[in-house]
Amino acid sequence: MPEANPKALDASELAALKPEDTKFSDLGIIKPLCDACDQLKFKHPTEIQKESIPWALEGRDIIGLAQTGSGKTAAFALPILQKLWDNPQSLFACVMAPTRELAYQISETFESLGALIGVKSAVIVGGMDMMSQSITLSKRPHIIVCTPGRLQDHLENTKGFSLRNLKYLVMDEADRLLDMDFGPKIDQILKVIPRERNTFLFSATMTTKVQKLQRASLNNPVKVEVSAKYSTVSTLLQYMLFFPLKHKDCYMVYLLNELAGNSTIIFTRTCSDAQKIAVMLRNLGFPAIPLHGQMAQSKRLGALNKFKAGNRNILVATDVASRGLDIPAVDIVVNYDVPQTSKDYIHRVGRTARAGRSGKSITFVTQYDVELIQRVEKDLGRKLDQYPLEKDEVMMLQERVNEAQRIATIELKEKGGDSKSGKRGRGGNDDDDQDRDDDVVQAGNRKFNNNKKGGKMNKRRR
Amino acid sequence: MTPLQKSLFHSFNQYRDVAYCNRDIDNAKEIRKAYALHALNHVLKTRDRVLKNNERISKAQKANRDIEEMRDQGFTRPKVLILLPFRNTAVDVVTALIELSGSEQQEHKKRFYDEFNLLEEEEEKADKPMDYQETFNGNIDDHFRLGIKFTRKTMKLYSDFYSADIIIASPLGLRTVIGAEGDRKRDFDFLSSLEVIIMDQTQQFLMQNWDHIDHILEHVNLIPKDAHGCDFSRVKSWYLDGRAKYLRQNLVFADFLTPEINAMFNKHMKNVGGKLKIKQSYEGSMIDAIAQVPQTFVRVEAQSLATADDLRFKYFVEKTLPTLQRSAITQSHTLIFVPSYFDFVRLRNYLEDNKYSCAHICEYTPTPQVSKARSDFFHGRASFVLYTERFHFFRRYNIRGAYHVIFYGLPDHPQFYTEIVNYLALKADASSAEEATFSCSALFSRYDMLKLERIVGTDRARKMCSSGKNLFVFS
Repeated sequence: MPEANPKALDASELAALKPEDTKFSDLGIIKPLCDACDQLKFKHPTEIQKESIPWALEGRDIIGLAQTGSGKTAAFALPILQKLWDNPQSLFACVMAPTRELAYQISETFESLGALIGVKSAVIVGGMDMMSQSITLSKRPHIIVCTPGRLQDHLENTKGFSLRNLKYLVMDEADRLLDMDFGPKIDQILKVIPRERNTFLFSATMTTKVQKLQRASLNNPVKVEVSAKYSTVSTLLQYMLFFPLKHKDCYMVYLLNELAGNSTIIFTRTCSDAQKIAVMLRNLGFPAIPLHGQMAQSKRLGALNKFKAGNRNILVATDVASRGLDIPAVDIVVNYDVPQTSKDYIHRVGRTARAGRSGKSITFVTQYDVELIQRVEKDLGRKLDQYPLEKDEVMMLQERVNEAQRIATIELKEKGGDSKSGKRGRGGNDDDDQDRDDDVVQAGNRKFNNNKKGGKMNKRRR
Repeated sequence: MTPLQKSLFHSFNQYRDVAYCNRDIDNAKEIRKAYALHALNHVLKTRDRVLKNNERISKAQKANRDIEEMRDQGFTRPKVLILLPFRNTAVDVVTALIELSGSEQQEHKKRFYDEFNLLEEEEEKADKPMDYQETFNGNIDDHFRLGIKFTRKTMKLYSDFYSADIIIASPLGLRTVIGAEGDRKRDFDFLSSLEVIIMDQTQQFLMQNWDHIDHILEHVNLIPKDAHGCDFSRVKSWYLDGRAKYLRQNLVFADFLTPEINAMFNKHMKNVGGKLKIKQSYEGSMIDAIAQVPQTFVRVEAQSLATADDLRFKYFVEKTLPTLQRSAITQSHTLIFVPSYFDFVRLRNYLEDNKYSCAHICEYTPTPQVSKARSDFFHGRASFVLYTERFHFFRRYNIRGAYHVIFYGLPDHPQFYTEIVNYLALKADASSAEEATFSCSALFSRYDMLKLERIVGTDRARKMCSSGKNLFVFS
């Protein structure tokens, strides 16, 4: 590195500089990777990149805390790629992510940053064919991006695949990885990868559990924190709307009508809500598409791609889409239900106003959600403004909305029969639905979820 | 080793594809030995390599150091597939393998010979031609499959496909395991890593069901649906990339070349090691005919293969049939030879619709009806008889009472032509005046070149296909 960049600054000097004044080369990044950054129009490192890359290049373990959309992925991708360049080796790094969509996105970042140095990366997530993944793995990619469930499955069942020589382990959205039932899987994975490795934890928020993990797998880590615990970007305008529960759909339709043409994500608490709203909106002629954990993986990817491509500009999603996903052009986030925790709120509204753009978030509050919203406001340290609108105009839509609701309910009932059987069919060949089940947890059905899992474990043992 | 074996084995061992179309009863055994040797050699060579690498890896693991990649396996174990038409040849091949392997012990050997040899006494076939006796000698069941596994000292017959090195099967036997699209139970993963495919007596598959061959070849060297416990770190990279079919050796042995074999040669034999097609030129089997009749060949002009069948039918119905009808002599005792079953059905329907007095014999006709048809024809109660090539292949009957023979198409087997022409000489008490009225004619198109050359000889066939005339008479 020194010869690659003799002018590398030391950490203290760097810290004094603003992100706008630094260049990637100042951080000690080698030329081919700087070129790749240029091609991707990354002109200056972001705060988190500036803080973490020099430490990473020094070979330290890192805990990175930064809000979403702040360039976290590149913050760990760049140093890994650079180390790989110095010391090429297959199965060099493993990146774990809580959702399949996020895994694909991280892999894309690696591929585009590593295009110039010829990096091969593989995505190993549930819902896809085990066999073709085994083949991909046996071609020995440099980087594996995975969800923990499926990776563990491969470590256990795919002969000839091991992570014995792994050098880097990254956990993106680390708090979520530990939040859910990933815990045991991750423990198992940690057992079979070498202790002499570098570990990076990245997350927007930090829980006590992360600290637990930190003890288990980190070695004298550097903690890099670029902003306060609960915060949102300044270019984001946050609003709330207060109304009685029964008018919820009506308000939503009014809003979408007012804001037509913007790309919008509507977050719901449950999968069935997401499905129902999407159908209802479609009946009213809105280009809406659902995204939730009860959809097959291929459909989830398809929905996301349609939304990204702009074919449908309203995405109705559960929290499956709330973290890590980088969809650059989201203008508005609607919280159909108030998020259960402040953390979820931060993640959800973090889908918009990314990378310096502006954005709006509107949270629906009904008589039952007052306590929740107050908690969020307390954590944010500010009151949310009331979104300005004309109440009478909203009420004029009531009739049409009711009609659409009715049709949607009938439609779903008709489809309900096949979707149930479809789900059962899928359960048979789809072992890794870890990252899908989280929606069920969100829906307050934890008990049901656990039962189901118990059954699965038995099946596998046999 | 005989000179033939030497030259064949040389090509085998260079891992080239070979389509050898000069097989006959005399060299059949030599060829069988040669490919058995090659199959065994291939299996043992690859096994030695795997064992050696196993040792190196375990040594390296003990010493706790890294070792470079050892890519020496396929997804699944079977490496060689031998396709044979009947159980009787399977016995020969397995016997050859046992002799060559020098294994101390063979598991299930008795069961094999019990199942693959004939159980009851053989019926006498002395009056049939030599090649018939050779083909149909012993157990002629065409539904079998057998996995053979080689270990250091023993050879295990009847081993499970996934642990077998060599699979010996009939096309039908394998096809029933592969199954068709939509079947509940299908399995063809064990064909994913074949390195050598051997087909012996290939022309007989044509008489069985060529469709099976295409079906099998389409299911070979695919990426398996299931891992079957394979060690991915040792799978050869061309398997991972789905390119295995380009490194598979195909050995095809046939008595003669047909368009189907040619198509397979072009479509499925893609070995990067190169491929050989070996074919002789022919003198023609026509000269072996005893019957003293002028043999007429008529070329039906066909612009394309797609229209050839229709034009031939049209020519037959519009020209040949009316000519037959016109003369009192040719109206009866006429045998019409039809090579394909489809043409047979077409002609049968046409003749029935137009109230011709006609008997028919094909491979699906039950034996009592065959007898009735033969006797009707002999006694003149039926003026025509339709007779298919496949029936002749399996039964080799002599049809008595034929004074006129018409080949709607030429047979693939050149000896069939003479055998059928010789039906005309079966009437021992025929006077020379009667004999003078006997006739024999055949329709062909330029797409029948391969069949024609075996009957009239290579040079003549070439002229007959390109000449301006379309009527040829040999007497």
